[in-house]
Amino acid sequence: MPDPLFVFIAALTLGACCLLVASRNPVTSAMGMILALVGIAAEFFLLDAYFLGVLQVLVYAGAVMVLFLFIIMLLDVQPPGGAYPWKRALAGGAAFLLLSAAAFALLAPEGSLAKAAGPTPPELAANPESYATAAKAFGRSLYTKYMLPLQMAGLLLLLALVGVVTLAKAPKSAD
Amino acid sequence: MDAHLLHWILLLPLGSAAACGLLLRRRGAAAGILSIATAFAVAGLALAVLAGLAPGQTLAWQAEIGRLGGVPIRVGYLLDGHAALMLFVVTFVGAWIHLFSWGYMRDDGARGRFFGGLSLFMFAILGIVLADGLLMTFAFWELVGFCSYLLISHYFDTDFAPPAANKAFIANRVGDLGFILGIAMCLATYGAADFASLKAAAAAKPAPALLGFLLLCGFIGKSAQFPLHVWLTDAMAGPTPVSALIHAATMVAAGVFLMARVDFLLAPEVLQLCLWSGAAMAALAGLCALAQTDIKKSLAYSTLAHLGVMGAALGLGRADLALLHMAMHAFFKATLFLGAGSVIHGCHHGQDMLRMGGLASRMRLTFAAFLAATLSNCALPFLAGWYSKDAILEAAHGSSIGAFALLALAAVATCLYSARMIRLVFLGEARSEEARAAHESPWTMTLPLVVLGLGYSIIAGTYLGLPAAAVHVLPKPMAFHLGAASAVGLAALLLGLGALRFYGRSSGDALRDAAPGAYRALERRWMDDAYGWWIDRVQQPAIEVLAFLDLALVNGLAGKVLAGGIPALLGAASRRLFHAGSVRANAAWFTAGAALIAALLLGAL
Amino acid sequence: MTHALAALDAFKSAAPQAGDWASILPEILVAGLGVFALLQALTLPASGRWLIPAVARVGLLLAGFLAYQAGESEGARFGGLLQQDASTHLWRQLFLLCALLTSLVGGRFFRQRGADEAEFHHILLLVTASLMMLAQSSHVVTFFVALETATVGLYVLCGFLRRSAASLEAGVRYLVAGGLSSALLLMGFVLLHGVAGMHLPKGADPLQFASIAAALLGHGGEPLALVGAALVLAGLGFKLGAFPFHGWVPDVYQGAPTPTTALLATASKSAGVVGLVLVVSGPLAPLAAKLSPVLAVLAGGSLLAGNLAALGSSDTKRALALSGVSHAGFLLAGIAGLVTLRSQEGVFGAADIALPIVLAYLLAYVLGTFATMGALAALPAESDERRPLVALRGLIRRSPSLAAGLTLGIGSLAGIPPSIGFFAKVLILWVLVSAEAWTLLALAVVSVAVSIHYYFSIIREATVRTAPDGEVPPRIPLLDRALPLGLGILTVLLGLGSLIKAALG
Repeated sequence: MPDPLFVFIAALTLGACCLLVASRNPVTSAMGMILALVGIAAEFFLLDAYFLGVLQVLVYAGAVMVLFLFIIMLLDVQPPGGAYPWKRALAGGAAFLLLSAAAFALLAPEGSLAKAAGPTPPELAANPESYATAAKAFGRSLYTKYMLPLQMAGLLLLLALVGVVTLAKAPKSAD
Repeated sequence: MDAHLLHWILLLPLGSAAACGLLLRRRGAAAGILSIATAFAVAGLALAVLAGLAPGQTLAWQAEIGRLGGVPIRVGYLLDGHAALMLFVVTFVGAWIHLFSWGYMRDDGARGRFFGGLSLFMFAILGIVLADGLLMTFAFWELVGFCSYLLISHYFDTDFAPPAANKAFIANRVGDLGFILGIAMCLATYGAADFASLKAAAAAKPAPALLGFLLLCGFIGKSAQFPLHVWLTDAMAGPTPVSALIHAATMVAAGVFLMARVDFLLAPEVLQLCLWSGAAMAALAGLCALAQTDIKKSLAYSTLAHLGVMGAALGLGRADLALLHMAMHAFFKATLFLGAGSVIHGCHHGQDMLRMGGLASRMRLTFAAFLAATLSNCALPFLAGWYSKDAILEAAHGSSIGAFALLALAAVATCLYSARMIRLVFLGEARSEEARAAHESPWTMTLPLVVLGLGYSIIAGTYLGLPAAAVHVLPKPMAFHLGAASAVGLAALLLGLGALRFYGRSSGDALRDAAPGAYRALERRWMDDAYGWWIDRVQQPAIEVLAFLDLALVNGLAGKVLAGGIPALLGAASRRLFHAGSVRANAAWFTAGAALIAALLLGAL
Repeated sequence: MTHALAALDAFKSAAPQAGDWASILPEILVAGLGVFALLQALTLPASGRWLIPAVARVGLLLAGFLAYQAGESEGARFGGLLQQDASTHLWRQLFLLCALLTSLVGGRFFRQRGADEAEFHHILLLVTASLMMLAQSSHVVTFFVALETATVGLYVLCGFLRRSAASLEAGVRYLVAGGLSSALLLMGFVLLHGVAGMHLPKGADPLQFASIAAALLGHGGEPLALVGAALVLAGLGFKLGAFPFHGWVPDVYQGAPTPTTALLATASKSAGVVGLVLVVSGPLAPLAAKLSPVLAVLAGGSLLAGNLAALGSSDTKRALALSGVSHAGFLLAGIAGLVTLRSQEGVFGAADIALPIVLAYLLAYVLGTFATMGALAALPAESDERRPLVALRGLIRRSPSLAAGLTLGIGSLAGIPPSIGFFAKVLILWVLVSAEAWTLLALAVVSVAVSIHYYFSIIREATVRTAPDGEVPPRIPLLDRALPLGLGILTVLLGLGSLIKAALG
């Protein structure tokens, strides 16, 4: 049996995702998304990946979602009127559940359901540099082995920045 | 003697044409001077080459300019006796006609274009003369046709010149189709298309009749033989020097020249065909010349008749006689056309013979030259035309009495229309204001008349003034003796004298007054009518049926239903399925697609 | 402490060496030019702004020269993040060619519509640099980052005419579809990573293409790996615009500014091809026997779906977009043939020629597309996203050179001899014959026949039909007229060249 805490957090995350998809109120959806992101951060903590977990909370649940909420409020999006399409929502949910269950049954490696999350493997515990205090190891490999993708990601960000400015700046009045 | 002078002979006119066409379009005088100087330079060079060539000697040169799929593409020159004669005629007559054009085209606004065209034509015809194989011949053959088109439509703002140019071009295309098929057949049969290899190969393996017939098609188109002769009379829409150079002296003779070069490829059946169609055309065209009032058209029919005579000579297997007649005809027919040009120039561009008359006293030099050329044309003994024409008549007499009869009729007709022309144009009273005000042409026009008319039309038959290298392929000048041919010739001349009187009887056309039915029958252009009938009654309805089928089946069934309806339906269905325009549908297809691939990979499908 | 220092040394040895950076000099140059374009925009006066495209074009030519010089240099770079071989340099040159042509087509187009040329070139160059990186990736991280960078740039270029609702809508559509496909691709790689991580010995990098292939060699039948492969194929199918991931193609191609459409049709599709080739010959190579029928289904579906949907289409850009789907089908058919041949006979023989054939097909497609799109972009239109076929009516009289360029370009796309497009199609058919893929071969031949219908309806409008009287011929600058015409003539010349080369054996 897997870790009960894992099951609980996983259930919470999935529920939050359902809320995100099913709700017609954008603010509720955003809240569901925050919850889902935090849930995933919690799963990272359970896997001893503290650094990733912290990043997840800081970047996504913090910065990105705050922006989302700002935009939703600025745009003043109204939920659509009319009755809630329960039938479609339920059918979609059921189909999704069935598909997930089938996929899980098919894909989960032999015996992985029964395997409990154990303590940190001894060989990893012996080399804390590469695992436990992951921020340091993460940084080191980021700036050595993954130097090239890091630079490329820098260009990606520049590109996105320029793109946003291009799309958002006021049109020239001259022409 | 090496071949590099030939490069100059061939390329100088091209350079002149390029300069006239590209740089001197608006400077008519400069273009004219350049073109004329080039023509004389080329003539001089040609004479120099021919003078250095011993009789029987050939000058050859060959270069490979590329390979196509392993087959070498060669260009080369082959200056043998035939080519030497043709080279002399083309450059010599061409040079004088260039000079004549200076005066004749004096007031034309597009002299740059005209002289550029003349130079380009010289380049093209020299290419045919010098070519050492069928492929190079064909390339220049087409260029000659194009130049002819260009020059016929010189007055392109009139309503008759462009259709005439089209007609000439299209009729030539029909012949050239056969010609190029013939070249292909040569390549397929003998694996070569140059004259030397063909000659060697044909000696070992006689050519099939079809090959000869296909090559004959090229001759029929270019030399305006029956049934493609219809274009030549219309081609007179071009300026008169063009008619003289291209449509009398050189280009139409190129067909004869080509046949003489490949005579070893012509099977007996082909020769028979050539003989009969040539002889028949000679007689008919000669008679038709009687019913033309336009001086140039009348001369054009005369050209047709002489081309028929040349065709008959070829058909008799006497290429040497055909070439001889080609050369003699070039001299006197060029003179006749130039004389006509001089008359037309004198009469302020009137071409109707019925509106001329009495010009002998006003244009003495022109009259003298024209008369000499006419007598040569009528084959008066010891003039140039006599040597060739009577020889052909005699050859025909020896081989086919039917062809002989037709050629004899042609000889009679020649004398008749010649007498008519002299009578109407030069004798009697002037019948119009223009004729009364006519004046002699300037020296640039009369000098060529004197050289070609009073000189070559008279003496050329004895080969005086012809380069020795060219003469050796021709038969010995014949001496006068009384035979069937000379009897016919003399009878014809007497009939001609009678015609001189006959045409003096009326102020209009005496034949039209005396026998209007016969005149109309001769005036009518039967072959054009036949083509017209074919196009109106056969081709057009057939095309209409096809057009209907096209509309109903291809456009309607295939176009609207198969190509329009079914694709539209399929397209609409496909668009509805995949491109409903909703982002959600796109996402659904994405997921479905991923699931499909997964199922395929997992082997579930 | 000593322990930590030793670990540090291990990290240092993993850091890139000078030779690694030198090997990607063309990419660095192109990316640097992209940044430089922004700097120029900040510093140049209005009169000197013509320098921006000029510098970019010269730089692209220089980068092309560098890529050409790189010749046959091979080997792993950046500790296995990149892998260069002979074909890498060809891909680089292809992407550079696309960028150069897009710059030529787009320069005046965007200037006229009040969009910023500097930003356009900045994005174009960064997209090009990342596509060039993609072509040599041999690691999931570089592969994904390169693909994402290019895609993000293309989102922006789709919406570049932001005063046009259609352009913005195209951008959003592309963003949604692209986001979904990136998610699928990433999920697929994660699953493959998982399989590799479970089966690889400690110390091996389960994100490395070669390691994934090694892991799949023994465990390729696991459902996890197969689903991962399926998701990766789906993600790349989006880039290719292949069936059934082609729903976005007509809307986005039609709404995007025409130069962007050309870039999407060529560079982005080429990215899909190079990505697919890298994946099927890298991590998924052990699955070849299973992949080839899947690829064949995708190829056949693309051929059918693209051609059928293009039939009766009344908009030129839309018809060309859907024809692009069928071209994706041809490319996929070539890749399917490649995979089949490899699974049959190992690495040697016909399979070796299949990849150059796919590249040749892409080159023909790129030339044909830019000739057509260049002509479209040069034509004035009320709005760029509506270019109905009837608007081409009588083009031959209004602008003979554009009509000629358009006709030759479409002739090449349709595969009319003697254009290069004809030879490209024949070569792909040859691959299919070698691979004995008879069904796909039949589909390909039928689709060529079907495509003639809509290709010729475009040509017919432009050349045969006459325009209503009184239309004033537009004034089109020389470069805009010369480019389509030159490319059109080039397709014929290359085709004739191939013909002569083939004739000479």
